[in-house]
Amino acid sequence: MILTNIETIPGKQIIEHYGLVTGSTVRSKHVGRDIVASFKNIFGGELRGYTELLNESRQEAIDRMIAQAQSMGANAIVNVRFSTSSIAAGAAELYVYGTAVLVS
Amino acid sequence: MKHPAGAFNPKLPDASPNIPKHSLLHEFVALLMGLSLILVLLYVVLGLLIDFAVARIPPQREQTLFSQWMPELDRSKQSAAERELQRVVDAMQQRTGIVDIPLRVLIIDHAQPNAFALPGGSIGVTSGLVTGAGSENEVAMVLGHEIGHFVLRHHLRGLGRGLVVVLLSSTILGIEPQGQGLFGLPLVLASSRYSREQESAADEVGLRLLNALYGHVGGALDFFERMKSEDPTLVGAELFRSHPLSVERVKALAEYARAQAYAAREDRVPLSASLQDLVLH
Amino acid sequence: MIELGITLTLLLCGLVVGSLIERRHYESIREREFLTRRTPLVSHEQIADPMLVQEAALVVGNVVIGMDYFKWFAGWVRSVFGGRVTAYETLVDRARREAVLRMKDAAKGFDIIVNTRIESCSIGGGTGQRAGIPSIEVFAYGTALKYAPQESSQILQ
Repeated sequence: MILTNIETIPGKQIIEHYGLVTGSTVRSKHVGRDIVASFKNIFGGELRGYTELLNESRQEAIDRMIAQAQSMGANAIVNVRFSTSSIAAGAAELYVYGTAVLVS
Repeated sequence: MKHPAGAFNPKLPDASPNIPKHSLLHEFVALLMGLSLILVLLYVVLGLLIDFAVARIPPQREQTLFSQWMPELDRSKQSAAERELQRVVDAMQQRTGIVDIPLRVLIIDHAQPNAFALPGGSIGVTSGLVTGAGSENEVAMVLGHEIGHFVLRHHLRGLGRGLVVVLLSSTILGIEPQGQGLFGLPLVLASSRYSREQESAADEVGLRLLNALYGHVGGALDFFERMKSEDPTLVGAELFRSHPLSVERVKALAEYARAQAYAAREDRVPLSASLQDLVLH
Repeated sequence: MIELGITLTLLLCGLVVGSLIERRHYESIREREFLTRRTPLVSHEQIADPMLVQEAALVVGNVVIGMDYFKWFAGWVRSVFGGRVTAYETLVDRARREAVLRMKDAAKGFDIIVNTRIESCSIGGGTGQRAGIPSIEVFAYGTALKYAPQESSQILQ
């Protein structure tokens, strides 16, 4: 499955497009709950635990989107976009969407 | 590299527009000093305003304002012991001409010696205080001290200052924890000191009233001499207390008595029968 | 008294260790930016010779950077008076540059990254009783392209 965030797949021809595909995960992001992270936060710097957490959840959202596209019979997704929205205090939804297409 | 716009010539941008040039520490220290100065000024100015406003509230107005919230004491409902103390209070008031403040005495059943003055004109003592007292003179000193609070309008000032502190901390410092961490301690020290000054001033009024009633101030120090044993021994702890150390109070009262040329005779008026009955509880 | 002592200790820790970490991070960022400067990264969609593209893929890079206690305090004092909150500026700058560098890292072997987008959101800053030290997450993504090898002298690399 090829993914791009531009409108075409360069080097290939788009034969059909199947519509919008989406993937989303909801994660709780409250740093205050994680004691170790709060302790490290006093000194600043990168919070590796959170970087990996968000990386994994984004990957999971992308995988869900790819699964949707595959079920449609597509072999590429164009114009992929990401979005984050806050659901409740400390919880955010990671949302990715794109157009599923069939390329040659 | 092929590019629709032309040849690619890599250049690294100079990041300085996005990063501050000055030192963050200098800015922090300067702003913190500015904030502290503003808070101190506000505390002082608002305190003065409170004093000004409180002086304008006459005791009658205070009574009508606060009697709705405070226990309404009907003099006819007072117990025999309370009437005894009421007699002492009335006598002290008449002899010094402080008749415009209507005061009612209340005895609370509690083993720990304590006394209080409430807005609206109620003075209270605990039964523990009366039973621990050696003479009527001692109880009169405590009652006189509380009357002093009324005369000097301390209870209203306390209310006003409390409001000022709440106002400052909620509007300027906000609900974030940083304000409390840095400014909590100076605030406690400042209000404790103000409270101690009030207590010393009330002590002096109490001494005056005692002298007016009995002709001498012999019983005044008995109470504080006994309370000396309860002074904290930790160095610096006295800065946090709302009352001065008993040792200090004894010293200050002795000096005031000397300055006012009050005599300290040995005769004491014993507690009347109804007050002694409290001992049996 | 203890509360004040704890606050001051945390401030000192944050100031000393935090600025050390930040300095080191900036050195690393500057070095890597210099090393990867020949990989072009553009924010538009236009592609030269799209039919010569051999491979296209979505590349992402993300990082979460937290501010230290001193920065948080300094930012709070500044926000009482208003104005440019310089305490947080280095934080967002570092995070953005780091995310872009990680995206470039994911695009090793590709020739150009087009349609780069950068998004950010804040994590962990509650209010009142639940106030934690906030951090920022920056996420950069784009489409990496690899061109078929050419003998043309137009290639600058």
